[in-house]
Amino acid sequence: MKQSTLAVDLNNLYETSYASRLSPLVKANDLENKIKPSFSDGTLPNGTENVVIFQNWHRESRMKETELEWWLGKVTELRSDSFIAVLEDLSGKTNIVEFDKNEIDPRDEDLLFIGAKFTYSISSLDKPTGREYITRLALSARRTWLKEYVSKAKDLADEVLPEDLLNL
Amino acid sequence: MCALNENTLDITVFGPGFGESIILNMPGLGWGLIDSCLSRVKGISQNPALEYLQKKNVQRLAFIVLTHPHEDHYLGLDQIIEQYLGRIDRICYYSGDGIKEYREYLARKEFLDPPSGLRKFADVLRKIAEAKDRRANIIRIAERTEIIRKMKYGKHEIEMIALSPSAESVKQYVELLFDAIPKEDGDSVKHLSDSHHNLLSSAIWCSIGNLRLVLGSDVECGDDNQTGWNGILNNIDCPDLSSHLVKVSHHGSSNAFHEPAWKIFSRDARPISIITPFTRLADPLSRDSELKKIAIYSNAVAVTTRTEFVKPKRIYDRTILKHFRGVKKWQCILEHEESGYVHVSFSVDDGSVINFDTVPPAYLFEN
Repeated sequence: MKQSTLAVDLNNLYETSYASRLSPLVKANDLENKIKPSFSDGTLPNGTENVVIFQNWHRESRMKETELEWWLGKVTELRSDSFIAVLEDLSGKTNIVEFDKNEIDPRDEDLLFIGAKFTYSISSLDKPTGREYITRLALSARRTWLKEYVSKAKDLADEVLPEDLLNL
Repeated sequence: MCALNENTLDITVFGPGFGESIILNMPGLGWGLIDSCLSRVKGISQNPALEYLQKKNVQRLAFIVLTHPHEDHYLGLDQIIEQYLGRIDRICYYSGDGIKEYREYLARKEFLDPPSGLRKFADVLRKIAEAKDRRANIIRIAERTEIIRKMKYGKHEIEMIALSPSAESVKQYVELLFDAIPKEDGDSVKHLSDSHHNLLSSAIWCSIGNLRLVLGSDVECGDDNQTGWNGILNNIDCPDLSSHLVKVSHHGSSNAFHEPAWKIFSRDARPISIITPFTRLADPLSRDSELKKIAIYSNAVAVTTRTEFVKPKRIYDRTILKHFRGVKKWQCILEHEESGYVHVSFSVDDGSVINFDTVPPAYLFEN
């Protein structure tokens, strides 16, 4: 069987048998990557058209993550080994929290500045092997300006706060 | 409508921990509002100033002042204007130099890093425009702006002027804004601190008969002799700032405690000082050290809310607490059962205090 044929079969599989067990974030391409044809040129041996080897992806699909609590944070103060942030939960309760700077991956240090936004969340993850808890601190990416944004930002300003409102 | 006592001025100050609002009831002139804020009571957002005005059955506002375009001073202002559309005489706010840069800054920030405050500020301006269409006078605020023209209203002469921002403050603010706006490929939005935004803040001086008030908004000391309280005191046309009441500027922060100004405020008699705390800090404003300094120059110090924290175990369940990671300290801001305020009634004949209340969680600071 040629690789192209295999792909068609996989899409069918994805759409019929396994769709309900996959996270919506898993795309068909990811699915293909998890299936290794037997030969390096992308073909399967003769007589094995109906054999597909899955590498545990069906197992992973049984994992279920449930968010237990979620906060939106804003950094208000940087200290030598920690930072302070105001965190608001989904019910609007406000918290003042001091985090250890070690919590931030060194590669993300440039994302930590006064005014930086982030999410902090605690989830439970049910896996075939048992339940785990995951705590995440995700700093927002620092989007940078491109000159091509000028007209888009102008459109936004004109739509939301037209210039005539500045000259009442 | 609530009857006006022709010799009494009432002032009510709200400050729930984020933002502030002041309601004045002036004999002969009527009711006015300076700034607006929202508070959360039992998990519900409330507009304490609007509720107060409605409770007092106020039918008309002689003036509304927005001291500076900062979120903790305009939240909920659109609701108040909406409620009084067609029944507002004057609206005074900053719309001078730098306002276009401010729009540009907010728009580019909204584009790169929302929310920027652009939408909320636009909501307020849209309501001001509607009020203008319904015959409200629009006044552009700056140093020496006459908010209420000096003249007799009923039995007493009233004058209200803005003490700031000075031309130098505006110039510095515009430069900061210009620098903060991303322009070249790869630029990010620079953070402007509260102190930067406070350059535009308007302190207000008010004289009614023999009574004088200083309402400090968020004015800070100033980095030179032309900005902040330095600039106000150096202004050759600065009025007599000795006062019967001071709304302490910038939540009683150390950046705003200006001793020469306090010496003048308390020159004739020590005033009642009112502080609106800012709770969203690890070490919230105002701090005891500053309250003690203010108390030296005050007859009484009233604080509009009590900043209280509770441990997270009172809010979140054990599973959550067990999985806090990287946390050195976690404090939850306590939501009070009521939105308190400080209320003072003065005789405008001699400046004596007729009534002085703190409605909890507002309280009197005891040194």
